Amino acid sequence: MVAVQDTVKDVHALDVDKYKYGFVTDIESDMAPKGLNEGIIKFISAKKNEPEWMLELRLQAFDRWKEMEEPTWAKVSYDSIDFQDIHYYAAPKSDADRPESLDDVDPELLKTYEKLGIPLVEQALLAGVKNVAVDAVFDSVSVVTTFKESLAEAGVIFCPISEALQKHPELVKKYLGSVVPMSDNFYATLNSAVFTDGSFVYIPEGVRCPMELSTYFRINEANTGQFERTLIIAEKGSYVSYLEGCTAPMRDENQLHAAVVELIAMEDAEIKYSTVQNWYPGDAEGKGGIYNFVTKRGDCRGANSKISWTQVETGSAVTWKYPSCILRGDNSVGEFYSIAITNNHQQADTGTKMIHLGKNTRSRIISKGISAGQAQSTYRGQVNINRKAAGARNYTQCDSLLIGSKCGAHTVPYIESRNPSAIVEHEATTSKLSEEQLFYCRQRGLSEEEAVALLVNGFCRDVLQQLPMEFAVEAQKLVSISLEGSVG
Amino acid sequence: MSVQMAPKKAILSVAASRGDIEKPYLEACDRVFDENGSEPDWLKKLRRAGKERFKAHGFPHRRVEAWKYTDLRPRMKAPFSLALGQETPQTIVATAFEGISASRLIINDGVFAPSLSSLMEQSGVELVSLKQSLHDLPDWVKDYLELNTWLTSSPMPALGAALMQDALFMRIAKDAVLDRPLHVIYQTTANAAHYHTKCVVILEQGAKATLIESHVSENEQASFHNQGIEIEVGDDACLDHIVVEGSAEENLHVTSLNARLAQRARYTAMSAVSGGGLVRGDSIITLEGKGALAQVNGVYMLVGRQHCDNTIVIKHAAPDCESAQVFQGVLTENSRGVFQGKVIVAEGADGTDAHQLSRALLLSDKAEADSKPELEIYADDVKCSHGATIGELDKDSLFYLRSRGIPLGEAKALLIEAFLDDVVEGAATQELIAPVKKHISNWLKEHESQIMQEGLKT
Repeated sequence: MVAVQDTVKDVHALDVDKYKYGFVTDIESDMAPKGLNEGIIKFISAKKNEPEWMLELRLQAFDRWKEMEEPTWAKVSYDSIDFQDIHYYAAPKSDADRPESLDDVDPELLKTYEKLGIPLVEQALLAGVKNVAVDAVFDSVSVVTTFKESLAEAGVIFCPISEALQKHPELVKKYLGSVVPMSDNFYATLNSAVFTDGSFVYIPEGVRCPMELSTYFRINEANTGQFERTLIIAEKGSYVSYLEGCTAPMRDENQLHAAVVELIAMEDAEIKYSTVQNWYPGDAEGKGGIYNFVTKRGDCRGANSKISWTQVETGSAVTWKYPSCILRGDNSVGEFYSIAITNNHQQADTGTKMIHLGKNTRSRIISKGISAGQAQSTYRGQVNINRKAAGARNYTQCDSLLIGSKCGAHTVPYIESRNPSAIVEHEATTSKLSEEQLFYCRQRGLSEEEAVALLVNGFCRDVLQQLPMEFAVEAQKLVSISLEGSVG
Repeated sequence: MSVQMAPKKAILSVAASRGDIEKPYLEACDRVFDENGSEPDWLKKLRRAGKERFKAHGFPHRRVEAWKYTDLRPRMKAPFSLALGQETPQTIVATAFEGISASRLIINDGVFAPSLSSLMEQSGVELVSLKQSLHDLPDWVKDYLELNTWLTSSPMPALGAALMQDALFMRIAKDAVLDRPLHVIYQTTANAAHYHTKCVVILEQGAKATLIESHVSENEQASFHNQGIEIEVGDDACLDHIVVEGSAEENLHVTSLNARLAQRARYTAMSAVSGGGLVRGDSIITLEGKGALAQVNGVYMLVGRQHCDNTIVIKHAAPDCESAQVFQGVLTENSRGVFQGKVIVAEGADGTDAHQLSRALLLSDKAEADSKPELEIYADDVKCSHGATIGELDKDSLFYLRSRGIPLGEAKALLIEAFLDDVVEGAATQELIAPVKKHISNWLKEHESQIMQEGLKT
């Protein structure tokens, strides 16, 4: 490939300031001291004014976590994390006195969002038009939640999980940890012990959520791990689409992010969960960047329910993420659409698990991995057909695209079937960017960069199509931006 | 309370019982050391190193990623004792290749039986048995042994090195084209025994040969065969390799194959497994020279509680190499079929073309198929793909046959036969493929009730 030499040059040329969201906002933080112990957990719990049972669960999880070992099976390598060198709680100062309206919000904060291209003020003004509610998460505490009223009308509960613990403790208690058990894995257990905030969504029976729910994540304070906990429950016959997107400022020290997301879909319910992840990936030398160790799992508890994961992963230095579906209800459907773009020294080990338990359950996995520079990207997925899952159907397609000779693309699928009437299909390909297609585009007057963006967007098309409109445009741009400089 | 705690993993109990399973095998090692005091020092050293390596790792179990779907440890609890094979066995068990003109080499319970073997003065082949020429080994055998290939990968070849009673070395001379295949017959006659074989096949530059391996048995109580086979294919050399595992359904059989291919070397392998209670084929094939080609195919037909695991690692270490893996099988009753294929393309191995295909037919609701086709790619100018399917027989095809008046059992057998023959076809010459096909059709005839039993309802 002619472009290979150019790629090497361009990877060098790709300067850190290409990351246009790299800046630090100066807001005074209400911060717990570094380190993790029972005291810190009690501090977090007290800060959030949590019920006693929640604190107990946290402490139980912490006890369990102390006995666990960091997983090493993923195809990623990074400097070991000193869990005692992290702040486990950081909140914007105004936490105690929540702003009533946008005007009360710290203008610095609003400015931050503006720089990110998510002007909250504008969103509030354009609310009627855009129909998007924002539960903006700044560091760990949800600062502003808009459009609660119109959601409340429909009976939808959409609030920070800390608020849900106050207002709807019975719901949280019933569902929290029922999909991802408290001690599911190392990072999920850590999250269970120290989670500070996240979103809680409850869609009552038969309700079609009137708008796309959306949360913008952003890590700000230096050295704060962010431990989000999201819980979405869709009751019988309901529908909700949830968007999650994020960017983070530039740092030298690695930041840990270990979120847990739990989705529960009852009979005939549908949950669509979309993510655009654009956290700071580290500079061209692989310095800095976010560690993104996330546990996401959905439970299709009722018959005919559906859970669909769509993710566009372009950021983070290290990603370790497997949004999964437990297809428990008969005829339930699980979907996973993923684009993972890694450039420079980024590493991504991502995929999904589809556990077919019910009859006639169906799942579809479409994964597109793109590696450029010296990045390593791995698809790791499991399709398991249980003995009782008669008539189950799975289709998996995972394609990898390589740009440059120094990167790696790996595929590790686990396919397990124990029912003869189930049909499982898996296809995977790995190839480099087609020179012929590049040539064709170039010949029609596109610059090489434009041509690559076009081809890669075409390669990802199946997944991009799954994103809600609001995200699709942003995601397409992101695909191009992420590969900037990877081909000359 | 709805919040659940995941159960603590029972690592402790595994650790506690660990030494117990290996103990009889380690004791067997010591006995072998004692009994073979007169062996040359290099061999004593090799045996001890093998024992140490095995001792450090123990038998592979499910927590070892490469053995995720096959747990050897519970199977090794059976009271096996080390077989001391006879050079002059009472019986010779028939193989699928009767009537094929070949140079026959019989390995009886781990020991080469020269008097029964018919390696007629075939030109171009040198054959050395470790037991027969222990104090008189030619230099090329010594050179090979110095590579210490048995002590590098999984603990199984290491255990084999410590306990082997014999080893066969074959070298095919430069540019020699063998007119007859080499047919190695591993026959198990000892009861409740374990035995360990080693076979080394070296093809020098431009040589061309066919190697057939038959596994047969005539024992009453389950035995365990730990097989090691090393293959070196030189520049422009070409080896066809056919394996038929047809021993009794109780026997355990673990093969560790290590093949290295030089420039433009060709290696095509085809295995058919219908025998053995637990059969694990572990292959590591390294394409070391530019333009080498490896084609590894396999079929399996299982009944009862049979368990067949094909684990293939193909390493593309040089540019412009090609590799393909096709594994297909039929699973009835409580059987379990596993395919783990891994293609590694090293940095700089541009122009690589690698494909994997795994298909399993599940004919019973108690059977299980597991497939893990992996790609690990560090070069960009590659074409790699894999596909995997698991399912039952196509209903439309079945209906088509039945509507033409073919009874259900026959229709099923026809479809299965076509499914398996697809893989077998083209793996070697028609003359040698015919017995394998025959083996498949015989199996189908003998197991009609298993095929009919469960699965498709019509």
